[in-house]
Amino acid sequence: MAETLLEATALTKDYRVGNHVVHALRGVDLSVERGECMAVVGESGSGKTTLGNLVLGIEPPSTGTIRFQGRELPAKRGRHLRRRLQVVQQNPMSTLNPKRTIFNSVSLPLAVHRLVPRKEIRDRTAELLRIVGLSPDYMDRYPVALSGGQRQRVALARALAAEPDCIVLDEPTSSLDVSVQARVLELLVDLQQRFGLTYLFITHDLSVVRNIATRVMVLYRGRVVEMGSTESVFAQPRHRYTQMLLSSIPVVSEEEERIKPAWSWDKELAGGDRVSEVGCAFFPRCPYVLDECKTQRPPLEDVGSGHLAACHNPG
Amino acid sequence: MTDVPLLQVEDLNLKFHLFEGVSHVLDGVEMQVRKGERVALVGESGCGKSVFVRTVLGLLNRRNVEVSGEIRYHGEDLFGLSDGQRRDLRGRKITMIFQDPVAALNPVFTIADQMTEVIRRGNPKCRSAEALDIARQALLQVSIDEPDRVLKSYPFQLSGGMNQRVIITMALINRPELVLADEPGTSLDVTVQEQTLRLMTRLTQDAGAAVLLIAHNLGVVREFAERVYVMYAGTIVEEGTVEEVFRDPLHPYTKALFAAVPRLTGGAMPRAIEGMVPDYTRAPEGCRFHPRCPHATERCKVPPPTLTMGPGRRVKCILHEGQAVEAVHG
Amino acid sequence: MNPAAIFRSRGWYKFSRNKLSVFGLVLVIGFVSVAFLAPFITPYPEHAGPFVDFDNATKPPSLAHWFGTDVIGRDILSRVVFGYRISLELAFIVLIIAVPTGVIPGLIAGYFGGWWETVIMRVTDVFLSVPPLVLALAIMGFLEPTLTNAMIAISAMWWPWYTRLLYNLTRQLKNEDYVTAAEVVGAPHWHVLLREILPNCVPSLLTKMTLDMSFVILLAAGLGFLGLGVQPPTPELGSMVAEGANYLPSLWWLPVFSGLAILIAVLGFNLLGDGLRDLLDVDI
Repeated sequence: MAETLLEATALTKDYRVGNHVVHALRGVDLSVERGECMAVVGESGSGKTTLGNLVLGIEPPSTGTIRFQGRELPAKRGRHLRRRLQVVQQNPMSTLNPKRTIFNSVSLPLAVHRLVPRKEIRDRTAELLRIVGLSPDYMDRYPVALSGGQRQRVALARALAAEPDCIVLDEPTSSLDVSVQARVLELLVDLQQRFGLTYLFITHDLSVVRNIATRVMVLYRGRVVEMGSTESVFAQPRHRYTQMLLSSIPVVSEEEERIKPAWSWDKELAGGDRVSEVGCAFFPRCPYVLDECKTQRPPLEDVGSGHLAACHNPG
Repeated sequence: MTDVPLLQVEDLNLKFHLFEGVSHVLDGVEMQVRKGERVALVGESGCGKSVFVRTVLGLLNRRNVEVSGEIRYHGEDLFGLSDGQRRDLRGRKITMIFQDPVAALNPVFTIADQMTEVIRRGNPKCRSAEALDIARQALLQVSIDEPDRVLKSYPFQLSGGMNQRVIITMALINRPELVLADEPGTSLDVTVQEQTLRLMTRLTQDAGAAVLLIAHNLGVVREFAERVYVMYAGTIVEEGTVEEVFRDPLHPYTKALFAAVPRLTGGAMPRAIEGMVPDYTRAPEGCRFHPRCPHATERCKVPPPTLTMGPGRRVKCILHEGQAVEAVHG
Repeated sequence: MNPAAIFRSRGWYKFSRNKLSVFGLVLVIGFVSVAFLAPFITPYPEHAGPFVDFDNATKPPSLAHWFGTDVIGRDILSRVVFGYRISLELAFIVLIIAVPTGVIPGLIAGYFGGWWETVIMRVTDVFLSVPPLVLALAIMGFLEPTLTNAMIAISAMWWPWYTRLLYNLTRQLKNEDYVTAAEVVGAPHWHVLLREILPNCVPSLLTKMTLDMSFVILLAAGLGFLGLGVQPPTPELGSMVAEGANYLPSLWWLPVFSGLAILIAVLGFNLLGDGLRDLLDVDI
């Protein structure tokens, strides 16, 4: 029975920068079911990192609510709530405190939440390191002795230590080499199966999404433009921005080249600098623009069996 | 096609003398770039490609460095040049496009200042007004509709993608013969990166410049380059045209690299490569990849031969000895 | 860990490249050891206390008295060495009091911001706006001139510098990924401040403390020179300079050696502090 673990309604987040306001998120709805891997895809300015921060309680939303297992999350979260939602951050070089040993970093959740008796902390930490494929010999070393991929695995061990229900992964492999990324992805899939974890996977890399996510949500300038099952969205991307994203992926084989949507790159002049506040935010860059796109913001609608898109002229 | 390649690197060895010991970072690197060619050097972090580029440009801090081998530009030995001559070459015949647009542009000067400076370095007799005009034209060429606005701006006022266009323009404006591009667009959004690549392809073709692209993304290599060199732990393990190498990778590392790339078609999960990049102060004997190679044998502990499989098609591994046209040992 | 291993470490390798820093280290180790061993190595340890010998007064440097004797016949060399002891003790104790007193408010103001920040930093700013010597004098005006009171006075006006330092550091560090990660884990505030943020402040702290040693010694000497702080017969380098200054230029050895002692102490700590600043790559 699909249980909705995480749910967010009409989330907005505004930042004041100097004299004006930046609308990082403009009304985003999210729902993640237990056991699935929900990907949130977008480029810079899409609001995907902000969404992650709000879900994790790092910042409060300007408006909107977030529910975890049906209960609304308050602005300041207590320890018990925090334990259920953990994070793996983007930059492995800064996610671990350089002045604390691997043991300190990984065992922190164990100590904070008193998950194991004092004398068992060391053993449990060693076990956690083994689970992510690292030798417990690293426990007393400092992060400086580890590579990016290894540090990311330590971050994963730390997230697992809290025995969370859901892990928010914010571009966890973006700064890693492709072979190291493969190792981390294998591990993520394995752990999800083993421990029944739920993932909110934030990324810009659609190839990774194709291989690891059950559902995908595409954000553009703070709004959801497309959402659906991975198969559905990749087989038939409806929103023009999704098509543009897919067609911009540098692929390594003819086979993949063939499934990329066609896109006329000549229309792309000054690049993503052109945004519209009225109508559809994407229209200045869209080769399929209609008159209504310039004046009316397209609503997020079902375009077939749970696949949603916000476009007046979908593909 | 000229006889002498533009850039010829032969048996380049580079060692750093560190506190921990001698780090043998480049091991017998050989490479050629011909006039107007687009060549890619692909490898993961730590393989030595950045060090290699800096050596070619003569930007390496000489203090703890031991270099041997030859780097020839138009047949002329680069190591024999004085600092001044090398600087001259760098500004005019050989230019560089850096990875990070923010780092490459000086934040305290306007785009106009920086572009005109580059233009005048290439043509000292050019006057400011003329240089500004050339800059304006160049920006129009890269589809920047409001070149005057951009020229008046400082780098921080422009987007990453815009800055990247400016840098590419600056690198090509004096019609260099060789452009070294260090993974441009890595820090940019994927849609912007795609445009940047297309732009670079068009501009370099128009300028007739050869490009040596330093990349870590195989997809980028496939979109942009004609020939590719695969680098692992300081050595070139495979080379050939992009078509040849992508259709049929020969070296186990190249194969593993392809298997690790997540596919848009889904299907098999990307596969990791066992083990880790070696410590260059204690590199493995013989083939540097053998500790991680599924096909490794005792023979791999001896330096592998460089096999020539066809014109411009080489691989440094014993696996294909049978089909090799020529084998060079050691 | 084997102490000799320090010399084989990478840190030493980097540090030792700068000859001046090593010189500073040597100086500091030198006078600290000398001060520590004062009662055992000085020729006339009792001269540092109440001692009078008018027959031997104002004798120039000789084999019996390397630095000569002062106006009441005390061996200057012994007094200078004990003077070092007093100065170093004073500086040390001042830092022990001032540093924690300053660090805690700085951490709190930097991390929590809001009301805490306003109150703590305004108070700190008031202290920092007054020149150190003036503030010390003001406080000493209310107290009897003793060594202990001098320590109290200097500590009382020294802590805000540490508050300012930690405030700035904490404001930057609280945005670091690993701090956010610890917060997401649910770690309590004290853990984040003391175990995540503070350890990353140590390089700056250590550097500042080393450089401050020389400032404090100089400040104490200044107070001593003005007749505040330590009282006779306790040897204090600043007051020794003051006493002897009247007899320049004929009885030059009276102020010169104590003056040189101050110079060496200040030089040593400054050079060492600079070396630490470069080694630890800190922005002080």
